[in-house]
Amino acid sequence: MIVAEQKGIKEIVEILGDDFKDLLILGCGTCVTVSMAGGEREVAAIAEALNLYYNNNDREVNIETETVKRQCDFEFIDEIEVEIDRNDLVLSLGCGVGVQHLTERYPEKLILPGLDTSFYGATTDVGEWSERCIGCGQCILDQYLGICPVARCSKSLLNGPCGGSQDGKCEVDPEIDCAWELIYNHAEKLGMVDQLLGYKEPKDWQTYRDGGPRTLINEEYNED
Amino acid sequence: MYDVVFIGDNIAASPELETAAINAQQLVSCRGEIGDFKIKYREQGKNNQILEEKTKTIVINIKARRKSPFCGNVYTFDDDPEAVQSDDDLIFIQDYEDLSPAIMSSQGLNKALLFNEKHPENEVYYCYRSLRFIEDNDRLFEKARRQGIIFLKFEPENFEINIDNNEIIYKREDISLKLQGKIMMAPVIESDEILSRIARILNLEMGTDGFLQPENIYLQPTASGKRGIYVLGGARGITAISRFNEESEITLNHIKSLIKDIKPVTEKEREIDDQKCILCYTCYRVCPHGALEPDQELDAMQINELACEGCDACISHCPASAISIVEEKDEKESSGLKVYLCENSAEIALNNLDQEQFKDIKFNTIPCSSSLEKQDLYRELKDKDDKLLILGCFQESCKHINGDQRGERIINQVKNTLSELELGEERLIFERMSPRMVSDLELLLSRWKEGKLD
Repeated sequence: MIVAEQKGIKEIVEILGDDFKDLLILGCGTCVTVSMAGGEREVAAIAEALNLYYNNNDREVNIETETVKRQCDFEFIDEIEVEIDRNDLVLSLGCGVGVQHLTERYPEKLILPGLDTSFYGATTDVGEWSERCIGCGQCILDQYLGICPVARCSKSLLNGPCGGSQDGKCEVDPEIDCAWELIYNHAEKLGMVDQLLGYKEPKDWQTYRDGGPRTLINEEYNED
Repeated sequence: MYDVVFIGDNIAASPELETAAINAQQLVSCRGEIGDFKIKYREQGKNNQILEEKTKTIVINIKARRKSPFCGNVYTFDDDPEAVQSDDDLIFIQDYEDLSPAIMSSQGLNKALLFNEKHPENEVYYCYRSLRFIEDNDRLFEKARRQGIIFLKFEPENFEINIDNNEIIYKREDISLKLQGKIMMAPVIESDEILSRIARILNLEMGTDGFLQPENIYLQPTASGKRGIYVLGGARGITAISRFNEESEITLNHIKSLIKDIKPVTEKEREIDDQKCILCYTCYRVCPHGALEPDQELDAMQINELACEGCDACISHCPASAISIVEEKDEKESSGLKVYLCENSAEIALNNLDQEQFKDIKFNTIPCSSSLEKQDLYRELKDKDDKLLILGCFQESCKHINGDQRGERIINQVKNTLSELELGEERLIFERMSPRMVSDLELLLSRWKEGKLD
C-alpha cells in the first residue's frame, strides 16, 4: 500500500495561509488510513488542533471534516461535491495521488496537501512501515528469490553487494538491512545460491519513470 | 469442548478437568475467547490435515531451553556426575549474571552432595555468583558445608575458567587459587524460540528475553494478558521454572472455579461499524488483551466481549474511527482546571482524600490512559486558561499491560503539536500515580493548581 506521514502542524498552518474562512479537511479511507496518517481519526485530530490554533490567534475559521473511501476514484470524490463547493479551501489528507485527483475533479478549487507521501510499503510493526517496492514497471523478484534489490538496496545493485555492506547492514544507514545479505541468506536457506551466480544485464528503466509519467491500460476493460 | 488445552506438555491434571495437549509446532491458528477458544493444528504425520479443538482455557507449558554455556564438550548440571567421575576432584560452577533460578541451585547442590557422599576422597568445589536460598536450598547448603564441600563465591573479574585444562583460577586480594578437576557448569537457560510463534498465533503480548509473560503486577502468578490463557514454567520465565509445581496447581484450581461461570469484565457495550472498518488490524495489534479478531466473513473486526477488559485502546487507536461505545458521550464542555484520572490508580487515590479543597477542578475518570483521543485533548485546552493534568499508572502496574506507555505517546504527540504552534505545551501534563498514593496525589494537585508543576 501507499505509505504517507502527516506534515508537521506548523507546515500545514503555513500551507493553508491566511486567505480563507471555511476549510474542508478531507481524509482518505484506504492506504493512508492504514498508515495512520490521513484517516478519520487523524482528520478529527488535525481539525481540533487547527481549531485550537485559530481560536487562540483570534481568527474566525470554520472547519468541516469528511473522509471518503478513496480519493483516487472519481465515484468517491463525486459524493462530496457539496462539501467541497461550500468551503474556500480543501486540505487533503490523501496521498499525492488523492490531492491531484481532487484537483482534476474540482479545478475551480485549491486543494492543498496535508501529508508527505513516502513509499509503497508493508506494515512491519505497530506504527512502522518499510519500503518494499518502487513500482519500476518490470518485476524482477523471480530472479532474486522474492527480495527486491532495486527497492531495498540503497544503490539498487543487481549483481551483488557493494563494499559498504557491514555485518548485514548498509553503509548508508546502519538501520537499513543490506538487501544483498538478505537475498544471499534466503538463497542459502532455499538451496538456490546458484541462481544468483550469473551476470545480470542492466535493467531497462523505460518502464519506470525514465519513460515519463505512466498510464496503464488494461485492454480487457479499456480499448483505448 | 475441553476445559484446558495445553500447548506443550499436558501436566497431570485433576479428574475434574477435561484436558488435551497440542504440540506447539503443530499449532496453526486460534480464534475465539475465554470459554470458547477454537484451536486449529496440523495433524502429525504425512497427511498434514488441519484439525480443530475447542477449549475453555489454554495453558502454555513449554520447557525453557537448557544448553551448555560453552561451545564444545562441557559437562553441565544436567549430566550425571558419575559419568564424569575419574580420580579428579569435581568443580561445580554456577555462573549467572542475575540471580540464578532456585531450581538450578537445588540441582547443583544435590548433585554435589551425591558425588561427595560416594567419593569422600575427592574434593568438591562449588563456585557460584549467586545461590538462591528458597525452598529446600538452605538445608542443602548447610548439609553440603558440613560435609566439607568448599563454596567459593566469585565475580567474573576474579574468576577464570579454563575448560580445556580442567582448571579454574580464583583470585582475590587475600587469596589466589588454582584448582584442577572435572568441571560441571550450570546450563544456560533460555526461552524456546517457538514462544514467539505461539505469541503471534494466540495474539499475546511478549515479556522480556523471549518469554511469554510481560512484567506486570496484574498478571500474577501465571496469567497472560489475554483472559483464559496462562503461561507456566519455561514459557513464563526463568524464575517460574522452580515454582512450576506450585504454580501449576494454583493455575488449575483457578481455572476450575473460573470456568464454572465466565462473566464479562466490562459492562459497557462496544461496537465496530463494519462500513468504516478497513481491517487494518490496528485494534488487533494494540489491544493488550487480544480481544479483537476479524469476523468469519472477513468483513470487519469484531470485539470478543468476554476477552475485552474495557481499556478502550482500540477506540482511541482505530485510524478509521470505526469503534465506539454504545452510549451517549458526555460532551459537556468546561473551562479551567481539568484532571483525567485512570480508574485503576489515581481515581482510587482521589476517592480517599478530602476533595473539598479541589472543588474548582473538573475531574474526569478514564478507563486507561491509552483510551485518550487527541482531538479530545485539544478540545479540553481550547481556552488559554485551560489546563489538563492526566494521571495514569506506573509502568508494569497498568491493568492493561502497556496502556500507560500508549497513553504517554498520545499525550506527547499532542504536546508536540502545542509546542510547534506555541499554544502552551505546559498546559498539558502527564503524571503517574498508584491507588495508594493518596497524600502524593493531594500534594501533586495542590502544586499543579498553584502552577508549580513543570
